[in-house]
Amino acid sequence: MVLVEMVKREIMKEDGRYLIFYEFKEKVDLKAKESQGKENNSNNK
Amino acid sequence: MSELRWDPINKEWVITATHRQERTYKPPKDYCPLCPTREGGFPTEVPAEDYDLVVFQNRFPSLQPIAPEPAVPGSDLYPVAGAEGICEVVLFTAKHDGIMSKEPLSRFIKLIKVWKDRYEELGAKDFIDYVFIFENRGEEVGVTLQHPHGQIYAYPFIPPKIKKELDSSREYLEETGKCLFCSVLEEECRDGRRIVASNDSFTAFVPFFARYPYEEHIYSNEHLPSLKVFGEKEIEDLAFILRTIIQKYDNLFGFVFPYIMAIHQQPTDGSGEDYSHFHIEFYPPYRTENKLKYLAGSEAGAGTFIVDALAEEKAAELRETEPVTE
Ligand SMILES: [Zn+2]
Ligand SMILES: [Zn+2]
Ligand SMILES: [Zn+2]
Repeated sequence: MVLVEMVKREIMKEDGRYLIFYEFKEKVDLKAKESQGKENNSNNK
Repeated sequence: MSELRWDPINKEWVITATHRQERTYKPPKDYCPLCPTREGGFPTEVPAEDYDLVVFQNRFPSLQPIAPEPAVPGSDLYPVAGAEGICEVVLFTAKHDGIMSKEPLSRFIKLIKVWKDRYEELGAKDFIDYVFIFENRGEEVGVTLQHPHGQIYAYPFIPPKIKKELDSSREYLEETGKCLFCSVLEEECRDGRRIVASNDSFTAFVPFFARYPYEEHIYSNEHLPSLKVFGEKEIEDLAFILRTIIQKYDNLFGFVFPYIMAIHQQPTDGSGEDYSHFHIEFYPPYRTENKLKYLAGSEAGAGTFIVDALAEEKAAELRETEPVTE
């Protein structure tokens, strides 16, 4: 899974209209990690 | 100048927006208002040298948060109202010549997250009853700016085409206890001939009643009323099927395939949770590699579409078209 965290940055243009920059940071793929380590961790569940 | 004029014959609002005449019409590439503002270059809509995705209020809006007074007085037969609402532009990428079918999955995921955010933010405003997300793609459907972008119209009412669908679904629910869209999807899956692609969360098909030869609908497999209830899994699955469908379109005849894309989901006036069902509809104007479908007498004058193609055959064509992988 491509997990991305979204960050919004809103500015106001000279004529009063808003504009929003959407920026994304890729996050660590927790689910893939989890399934990789599943066999080792199965006791914990 | 903009206002809502009531058409008592068709029982629907018409938006007049005469200021839109001044819209930027096919500017040269160096003067694209949707590109980032380059150092020393002319100021575009986006005051930054680069960006990922951007949303801004349309400079020539058909609907405005503080609507001007209607320019004409209304009457009992002809009510008028302020054209209240919000019109936004969504920039899919900073790349002027970008083609979405060649973009990575992550760009689609980001775009759907932006759509979800806009649906929730605009829908939360009390004067907005419907958040309509759409894309016009290609000169053939009237696009004046080539830069990859879509639009959002947040209406103060549920637009008539969507209201008709929702009324049908509500009546069907009252009669059968089921969502009409869920039943349509079940029927399409049972038949199977018109399915183009599917994954865990979504199914794409040419509907039984397609009005355009290459019309396609993408339905959520579960009864999900809107983007609001989408989790990471649904967002990724929608990104994947959306990209697949656009890749197939672009590979069908080897050119960037024009279409109108409309997202239909739950109104934001609080109604319709159990009979609104998230789906995307594509209306491509091409009926063959070099022939366009025009809305003529029967379609424009009577409202009955005539399609010179079988949905089953067109679906097979699209199913067999490989997604562009470049
Ligand atoms: Zn551009
Ligand atoms: Zn449903
Ligand atoms: Zn629909």
